[in-house]
Formats: sequence, C-alpha cells, structure tokens
Amino acid sequence: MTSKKSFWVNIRTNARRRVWLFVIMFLAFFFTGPVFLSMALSMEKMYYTLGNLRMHLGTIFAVHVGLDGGTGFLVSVLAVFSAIQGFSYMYQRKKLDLYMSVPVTKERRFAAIYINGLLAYLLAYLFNLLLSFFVAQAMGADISQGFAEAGAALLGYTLLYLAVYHIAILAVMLTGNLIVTLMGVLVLLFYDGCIYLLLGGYTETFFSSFHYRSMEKWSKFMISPVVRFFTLIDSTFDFGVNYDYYRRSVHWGNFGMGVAPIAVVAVIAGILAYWCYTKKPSEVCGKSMAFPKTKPVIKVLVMSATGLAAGVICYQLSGQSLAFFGFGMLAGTLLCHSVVEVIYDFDIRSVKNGWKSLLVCGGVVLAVFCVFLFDLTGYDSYVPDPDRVDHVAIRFADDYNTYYDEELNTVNSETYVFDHMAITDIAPVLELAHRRMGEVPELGSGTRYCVVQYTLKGGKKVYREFPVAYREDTALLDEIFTDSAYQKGCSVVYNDPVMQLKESLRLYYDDGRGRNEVTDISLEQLKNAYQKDLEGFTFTETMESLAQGKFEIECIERGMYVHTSMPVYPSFANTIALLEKAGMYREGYVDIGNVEQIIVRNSNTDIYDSYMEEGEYALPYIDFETEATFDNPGEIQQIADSLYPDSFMDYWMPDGTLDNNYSVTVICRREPGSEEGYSCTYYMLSDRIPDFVKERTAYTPD
Amino acid sequence: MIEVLDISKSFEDIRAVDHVNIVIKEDSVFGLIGTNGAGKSTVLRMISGVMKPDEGQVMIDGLPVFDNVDAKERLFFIADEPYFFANATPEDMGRYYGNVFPKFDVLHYYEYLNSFGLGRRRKISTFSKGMKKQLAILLGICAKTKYLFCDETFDGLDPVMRQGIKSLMAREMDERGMTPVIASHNLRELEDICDHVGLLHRGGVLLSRELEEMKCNIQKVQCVLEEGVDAAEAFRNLEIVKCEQRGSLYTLTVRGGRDEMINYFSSIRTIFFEALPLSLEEIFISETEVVGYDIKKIILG
Repeated sequence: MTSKKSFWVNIRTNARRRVWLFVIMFLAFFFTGPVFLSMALSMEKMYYTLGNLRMHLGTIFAVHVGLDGGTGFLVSVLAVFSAIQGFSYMYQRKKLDLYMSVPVTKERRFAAIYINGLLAYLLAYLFNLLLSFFVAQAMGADISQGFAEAGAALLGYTLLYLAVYHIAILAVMLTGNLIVTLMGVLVLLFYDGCIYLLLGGYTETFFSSFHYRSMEKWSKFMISPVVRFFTLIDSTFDFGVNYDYYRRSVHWGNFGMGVAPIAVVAVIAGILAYWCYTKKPSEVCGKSMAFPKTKPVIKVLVMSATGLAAGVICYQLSGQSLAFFGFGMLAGTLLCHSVVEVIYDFDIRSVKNGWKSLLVCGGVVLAVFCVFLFDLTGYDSYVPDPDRVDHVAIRFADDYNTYYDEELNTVNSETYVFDHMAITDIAPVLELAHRRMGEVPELGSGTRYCVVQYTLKGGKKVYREFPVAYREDTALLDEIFTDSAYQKGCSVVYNDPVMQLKESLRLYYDDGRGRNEVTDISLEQLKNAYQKDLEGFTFTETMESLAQGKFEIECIERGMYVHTSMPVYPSFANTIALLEKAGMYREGYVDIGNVEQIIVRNSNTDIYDSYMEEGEYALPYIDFETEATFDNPGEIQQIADSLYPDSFMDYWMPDGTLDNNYSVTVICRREPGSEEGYSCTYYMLSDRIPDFVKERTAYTPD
Repeated sequence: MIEVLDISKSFEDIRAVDHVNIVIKEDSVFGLIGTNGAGKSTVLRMISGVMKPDEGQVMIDGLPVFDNVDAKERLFFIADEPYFFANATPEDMGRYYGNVFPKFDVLHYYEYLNSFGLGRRRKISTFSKGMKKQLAILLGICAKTKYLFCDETFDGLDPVMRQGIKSLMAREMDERGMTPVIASHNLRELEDICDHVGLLHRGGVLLSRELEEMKCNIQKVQCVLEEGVDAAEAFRNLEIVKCEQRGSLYTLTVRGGRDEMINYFSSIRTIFFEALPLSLEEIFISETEVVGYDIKKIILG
C-alpha cells in the first residue's frame, strides 16, 4: 500500500483483509433478494387463479425489486457496519501503530477503505439484482414491469447507503471507541427526527389550533437520510387498482425530489467525515470523543431533547400536571447528564462533572416549556393580517368525498381541498377564525372542527384547526358555502378527472331503494345541472334538509377503478328535473306499496349509558338488543316516514339527526320482472320515531 | 540522521513529552531508556510518525516524518504490542508488508522464518508472545528500511532467540547500515548492543551520550580513609553523584575519568581504594536519583 505501488494494489490489499464484509453483504442481499423472490413467486403461482398470471408475477417481481422499507433498513445497517468495520483500526492503539507507521498516505488509506466499503455493497446488490431478474424470468414473470422499479431502487438504495455510510464514518471520526460510535450514529441519524417529534408533541399538547400539516414545513428541514428514505418510498409510488392485480408505478418527479435531499446529506456528511478524518489525532483511540470541543455541544443537544421529552411525557401521563412536568424534565435531564458524563470518561464518578452544561440545559428546557405553556409566540391566536393573505381554503370535518387526480389515483379529501380551493373573499373565513381560534369546545356541544389553510402572498402556507359551532356560525358558514371558490374546491362535480370520464363509465342513481343505472342522463348534463344547483346552495340548506338521493359514478379507466358519489338535495331543481325527465325521480326513500314487512332492531345502548352514569362499569355481558317486525300498512307508513338510508350516512347532517340505536331493514315484495324480493337498510330520524316502535323495541328484562 | 527537534506532547492535562531534543546518527544503535512514564513509547511513536507532536518536529534524513510517505519508507516501527491481522499467517503479513515497503525482501523473509522455526502458513494467533515478537522483528528487518524502531521488542524473547536476533541486526548493520533505535527497560540488554543512549525522565531528556563516553565519565570508587581524615574535606574536589558509607567503607559514584579518579584517590590519605566501572543500570539509577527518582524515597517515602 505504498504510494509507489498502484492504487488498485491498495484496494486489493485492503479488500483481501475484508473478504468477510463482501461475504456478509452478498448473503444479506442474496437471501432478501433472489431467494425471497423465488419463494414469493412460487407461492403466487400456487394460489393465484384470477387472471393473467404472467402480469401478476411481473407485478410481484416489480414490487420486490423496487424500493421498500425493509431493504432500506438492511442497507442502512450494512452501511453502518461497513463504515465501522473499515475504520475500526482507529479504535485500537496497536492497529494504529501499524497503519500510521507504514508508508501510506492518509488520503490513500482513506480512499482504499472507503471504496471497498462501497464496492462491497454495490457488487453484492447488483449481482443479486441481476440474479433476481433471471429468477423472475425463469419463473414466468413479466420482468419488463421491473425495470423502472429496479432503476429507482438502485439509485435510492445507493444514495441511502452513501448517506448512512458517510454519517457512520463521521461518527467514527468524532469518537474513539465502538460503543460511543454506535451512539453517535444513532444521534446523527435520528436527532432531527426526535426534535421533529418533540416539536409536534409540544405543539399538539399545548396548542389547540395545531394541525398536523403545520409539521410539513418542519419536515423540510429533516436531514436524516433514513427518515428521508421512508418519505421517498411514500412519495415515489402511485398505487392503483387494476382488473385483477394491483399496480404500482414510479413517479419520477417525486422520486427526484425525494432523493435530492439524501444526495445533499450524503455529500455534506462525506466532506465532513473526510475533514474529521484528516484532523483526528491518533492518541484519541479508545477514548469517547475525538475532539474535546464537541463534548459540551453534543451533551447540551442530547440532554435538552431528553429533558423536554421526559417533561412532556410526564406532563401528559399525569393529566397535564406542571409539577410532574418539572419532575420529568429534571429526572430526564439528570439521567441524561449522568449517562453522557459516564460515557465520556468511562467512570461512574464523572457524574459530578459538567454541572455548567446541566444548568444550561435546564435553562433551555424551561425556556422552551414556557414558550409553549404561555403561548409566547401567539400560535393559538394567530389569524393572519388580511393584507398578507392571498387566498384561503377551508375543510370541514364532515367532508368525506372521494376525489381523483389526473392519473385517476384517489386523493385524500384534505389534500384535494387544500390543493384546489382558493377562496379570495377571505373575510368570512378570517372572521370565523377570529371568533373561534383557541377555543376548546365541550363534548357534545354540537361543534365540529375545521382546518384552514392560509396561503400568504409569498406562497407560504399556514394551517390552523379550530371548532365551528354550526348553529351560532350559520351566517358566516352560509357566506363561505355560497362562494363558488369553496364549491369548486370541495365538490366532486368540479373534480375534472372524474367528470371527464368516458371509457366504461357507469352512472347510477340511488334514492334509498337501492341503486339503478342511469342511461338517459349524460355525465355532461349532470355536471351542468348539478353545478347550477350548487350556486345558491347554502350551509343552512345543507343542515336543514336531507339528501334525497345520490348519483354514483363508477368506471374502470386506464386500468384504474374509480368510484365516487354526489348527493342530491330537495333544492337541486335542475338535477331533479333531469331525473324526472329520465323517469327516475321518486319522493321518499321507501316504496310503501311494495313493502312486505319492516324489521326494527333497537340496540338500547342508552341502558348501558345509564349503568355507566351510575358508576357500574363492570357490567356482566347482557344483550339489550331487541327486534320487532311490523307488517301493518299503517305502521309501515309511519315507520317509512322516519327512515333515512344508511348509504347516505356520509352526507352532512346536524348532530342527533339520526338515532343510532335503531337499525331498520325494509323487506319488499318481488317487483314485476324480477325473480325475488329485495331489502334495504336504514337508520331512523330521531324526531320522527313512532311511539309504537319505541314501545315494541324497548328492553324488558325477562 | 534522525533529528528530534524540541518536541512536546500532552494527553489532556498530562505533559507526556516535554521539549525533547535528540539526534540519532546513522550506523549506530540508539538505546532509549527511561523511568516508567518518562515518555519513551510516546517519543518513539512520534519518531515513527504515528503521532503528531503538539510542538516541535521530527525529521528523518531531513524530511518531516508525520504523514510523509518518503520519510516513512525509511523506517519500520515495531510496537510494544505488534499487531497482526486477524487470522493472518506469516505469509499474509509478508504479503502485506511486501505491498507496503518497496524494498521488502520476501526471499530473506521466508529464509528467516525457516531459520527461526516459524511456520509460514501457521496462524499467528496460535503463536506464543515470544514468537510474535520474533515475527515482528523479522518483518522489520526484511522491510529493509534504513531505521528500525523497536519498542520493548526484546522482552519476551528467550536468550537464544535474543542472541539470534542480535546477530541478524548486526549483519544488517554491517551489510546495509541499518540503524536500530531500541526503547527498553532491560538495560543489560541495551548495554551489549547500544552505541548511544538517550535517557528520558518525566518527559524530558536527562542525557543523551555515547555509551562509552557515558561510562568513562562516571566511576564508582570504594575507599577506606585513614583514621582522622575528614571525609568531607577529602572528597571536597570531587563531583559526587552519590555517596554511601558503611562503617569505614565509602562507596562513591563520582563524575570523571578512571585515570583521573585513580590519581585523585592516590593523592589523599586512604587505606584502600578501588575504581570500578559502572553498569548502564547503575548509571541510570545514579542519574535519575540526582533528579529525585530515588528508590529509597519511593519505598520509604
């Protein structure tokens, strides 16, 4: 390994001593790669009977060679292992005596160890990836599905490996023995994640207006490549449902955005690791830390986080007791101080050292706690200055619509609303926020939560959650509901990818009696009529009227299954006119003339509640449910007037509209042309339940 | 030539080496001796380029040694606990050093392995401590470097092996002018082979001289004075390092040449006197005692 010899001789000499690293890498990827794949394909071949087996096996193969958390974890562990194994000579004096006295430059020694650590991974991974392709081909899978996945995985894993490898080398350079190095790796890899969780935990604990999306801005500062890698997996793949197998495709844009921070971390950690390598003195081998100046910095960082975490955990476990916060903070900080000092000096007596940093930490923890406890930043009262707001979006907790993106992937309703709603008439929303921010409503007070996204003029997004009192805030809510920007942002009828469906589209109308296919109304006609009806549709109408029926849109297009629905309210004159024209509009939810009998079940949960109120928590199991059948036409008519289809449950209605004790099955006679009768299920409207139903379904002990 | 120029090294609050200056000339055997904790190994590790001095510099043939391949190609360092790769055989180690040192003589190495009865394909982990030391020395000799640094290397070798190794070193010195630098506590061992001795104490150099010169300049004289002669008066003109009295017998350690001493004691009134040469060990004890490193103080307090 002299400078006068070829660099490849250096590599070979080093590799010869580290053969077992290559063997471990190979075995790890061999068993988790081709071996596991062949077993998975073998099982699928045995049990899969639905359709195109080759395609199905291809999908299994593609997922197998693609990015996944398990392999990511394995790659991270191997990277740490490789880094520590390569540079562990720095832990022992006698090894250092050999390596440092021989005529090899520092740079060349580093390069030889570094490159072998990387080669061991790359060779093992690539060989087994290639082997996986051969195995899949031999077992009859459509391997073409795996090329993109394998390419993304190769790049993603390699960058993850590099980043973790560099961080682990950095940890070796900052420390002097194996145990402290391992702790250093954990701190370097997960400290920012812990701070992220702590911030989230504190904000959620102390601020009632916290919404988890606020964490998004903090997550941008996360540098841990492991955490970033798991985010990358989430954002890289689009999942869709195809006819008989599920499909996953690589979203290259998201992938690029996801791997970029990992690459940046890899480069920075690599430079830092090398710099520390050149500066690390030989005499620190066996000691805890290589650079004494880093000791108090690391101690303060770790101790503050531990104190804050212990404090908030005790605060929550004790029912928000300040005394327990103090105890937890003190215990956590002291414990961490003791552990760190003992690790630094390998001497239990060192606990008495470092009191200054302990005091600094105590101060930091107390300051942070006060910021949150007394809301010194005004988080819970924050309503932006109207002049600074570009537009807002608001999502109410009752919005359960299903939306689709351009690729016909389902989109989380919150994400859809915040991406598509841009209310520029911000006054009602800001007023609502001023009125309700920071309120903590009592249970059962008829309030629901809403989340507001303020998009400021610079593009910055701020999220706040607060309660809305449906009855007291009606006027403001009416203003918001009648804003076309609001409807455009949350109504399915404005979800273009759905409303432009053509292939194999099926339109259904359900009026509580079961759904029927609509053939005389086109999607375009429905869209136009429905959008007109929404124009004057107020919040008051939403709450005071019940959905009369619902349209269901269903199709399989571009291999994706699409299904969504839109409620029809009595005031939707244009939509109802279309239905009437198509001969599909019927009032009420039940065909009275066709009903054979109605079965009402009453779960009588109020009896449980009364026992609970009396403090009898340890009730023996008693089935309070009762059932009654009604076939008298008079009774059927009265019951029918009190029914609400259970398939309409997703739509808005005030609390208490339905009595959840009652579930109803309506059994209808055979209709002309059909072979058998049918049944529909309903709930009962609280204020319309006939007395005779209450009497006959009341619980009476035997 | 190796020049140790005013080097210092501290480990946290402990000053291990304090402004040490030594010059090691070529074609000689340099013995580095010192009290426990004097910094012998630290000095040797700095001379080998393993550690960087906090202050000062070490030059080998005019080249700074730390992180300098050209300088390191001229030296081989045998640590007090030589390291061999896990599961390695002498052959593996030979291959490694062959790649590292450009002049490594593999043929000689295998010959020596045979001569010393060290199996070239036997795992080094099964060797005894002495065998490992032999192997380290053979590797060092076969690296054909100009300087060979040995830290407590002869400890653990049996007398026959010690003699064998000494012969090998002598041959290398004759043939190619190898310069061994040997740090040891075994002063009798060093006495046989060293030309020059550096004595370290508490991180500093107490003395650094040719061994012969050192021996010539200090004498042990035993004498009995005639009755009525005042000892203080009689010894007034001597540079006494140590003086012990048992009855009427004085044992003095005195600086000066042998002839000078004989002349001096002939001129004073003695019943009997005898000038004896000092061993290196006695010189060590005498010199360190002067600076307060006295075994009596250590034991009796």
